[in-house]
Amino acid sequence: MDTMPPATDFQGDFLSLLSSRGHRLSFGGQLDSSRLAQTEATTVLAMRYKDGVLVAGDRQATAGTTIMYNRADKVIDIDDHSTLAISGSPAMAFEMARVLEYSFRYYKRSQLQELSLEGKLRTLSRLIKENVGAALQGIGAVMPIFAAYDTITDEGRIYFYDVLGAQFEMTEFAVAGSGSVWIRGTLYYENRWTKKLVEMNRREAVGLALRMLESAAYYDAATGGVKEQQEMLPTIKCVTADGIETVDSETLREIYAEVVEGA
Amino acid sequence: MYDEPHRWLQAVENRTQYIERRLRAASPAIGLPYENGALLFTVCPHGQRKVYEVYDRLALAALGHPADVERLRMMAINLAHTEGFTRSADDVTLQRLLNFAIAPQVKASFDEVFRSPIIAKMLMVELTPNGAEPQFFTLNFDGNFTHRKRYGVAGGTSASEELMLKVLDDESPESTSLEDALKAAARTWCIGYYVATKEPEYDEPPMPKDADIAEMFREAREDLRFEAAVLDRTRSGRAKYRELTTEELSALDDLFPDNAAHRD
Repeated sequence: MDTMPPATDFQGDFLSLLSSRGHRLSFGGQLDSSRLAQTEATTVLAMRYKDGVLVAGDRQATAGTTIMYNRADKVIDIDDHSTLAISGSPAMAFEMARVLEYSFRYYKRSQLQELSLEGKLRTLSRLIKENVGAALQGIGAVMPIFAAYDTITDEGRIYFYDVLGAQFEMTEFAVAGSGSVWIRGTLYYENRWTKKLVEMNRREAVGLALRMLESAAYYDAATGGVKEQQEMLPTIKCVTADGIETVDSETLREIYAEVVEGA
Repeated sequence: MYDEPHRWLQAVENRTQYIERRLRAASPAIGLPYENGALLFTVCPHGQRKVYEVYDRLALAALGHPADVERLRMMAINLAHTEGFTRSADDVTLQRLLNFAIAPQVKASFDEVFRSPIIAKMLMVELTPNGAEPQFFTLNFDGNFTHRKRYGVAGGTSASEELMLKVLDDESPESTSLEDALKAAARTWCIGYYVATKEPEYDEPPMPKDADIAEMFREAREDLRFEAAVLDRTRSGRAKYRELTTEELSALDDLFPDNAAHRD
């Protein structure tokens, strides 16, 4: 055990603390993706609605044509007001979410104040950049959507990242994953000509998200969609001023019956 | 100079006395269980802090030199977070943190008689996941630590700590409510601080008079700030720590009605 550390070590930076303990985030060595059927997670979306941001994801993870898992939670709570919706390699994405969660909590506890939203976004950018090497070798690429409620400006915020860590703020909605191409245009259409997403109430937003996930699953074999009979309901979370609320399966089933099947 | 055993002993003795002298006027910290978890209470000057969140179910209250407190606090936070991240939050326990990491380092630092010592004590509390009673640990400046189930105290002198423990033994809070735990903690603080600062010459100080306790409380309320936090197991999410609000602390307003504070 080393001697007593100076109190100023790390300045609330959990990533530095981890690397000082010899922990590596990225996969090491030269990687060859051709030998591996990668597990990938598929359709996630985030949209601003009246109370904040709604974040939704299907539950399926696939490797090639094989369904690896159909209970994956791709929308992960990071702290009281932010969530990460992941697409891409679950191995890396779940690790990223965990690092992120610890980073925010570590910062808050050590520095005695909440990390700013800007600071949180930078942390995620850094994580994605550290993963670029692996992503370029065709393994472990992650394209997350970060959705948060900004308690200072009092509104929902959505950020989208590319594989290299570039960050874009989306004003209305963001989609990611293999099934997202099928619903991106639909969301644009809905927002432009049917009803502004930001004017939707929670029920309308949840209904639209369910419709989108089913549409994505219809065209994308890797998206699980809504399979009610198998209890495979998507994860839908509402991020508002009050915090994060996971929409329970009872409500999902009821809205699904009315808005998706009944319509 | 320190190669002879008795000289080394003398050096350790001097060091202990020096630290004890520096800690004498420190504001005590008191930890008590209540219906939803555990309470940590202390009194500190305005603009300062002494009660901190360490991890999801761990908190501490410290006394001593702020720079030393900060080192101990960061050591605890760093250890807890790396352990929780690489293994699991369930593996982060006070017993492990203290036994295998913090206490040995504090002891090593205490033994280095050529370097400036750690002038600090900590009261740490842990909320166990299975809903059992909270665990209290007091870490001394020499690396020694003690474990208590029902409550914990850390004070400027060992005599004041003993008296505070006796008070908590004899006068358990009226109920398990947060308000009653807070009141018991504040009363115990007054007693501990009174004997440590006003009667340091006693090895076994007598119980202060009620009027003195009330006076101590009034002085503290006027010049200082009450600080309290809880580990509340009813809180949703992993992190159970929260600081008490001014409104919750106002429960202390009627602890000593003003007339009781006046001496005859």
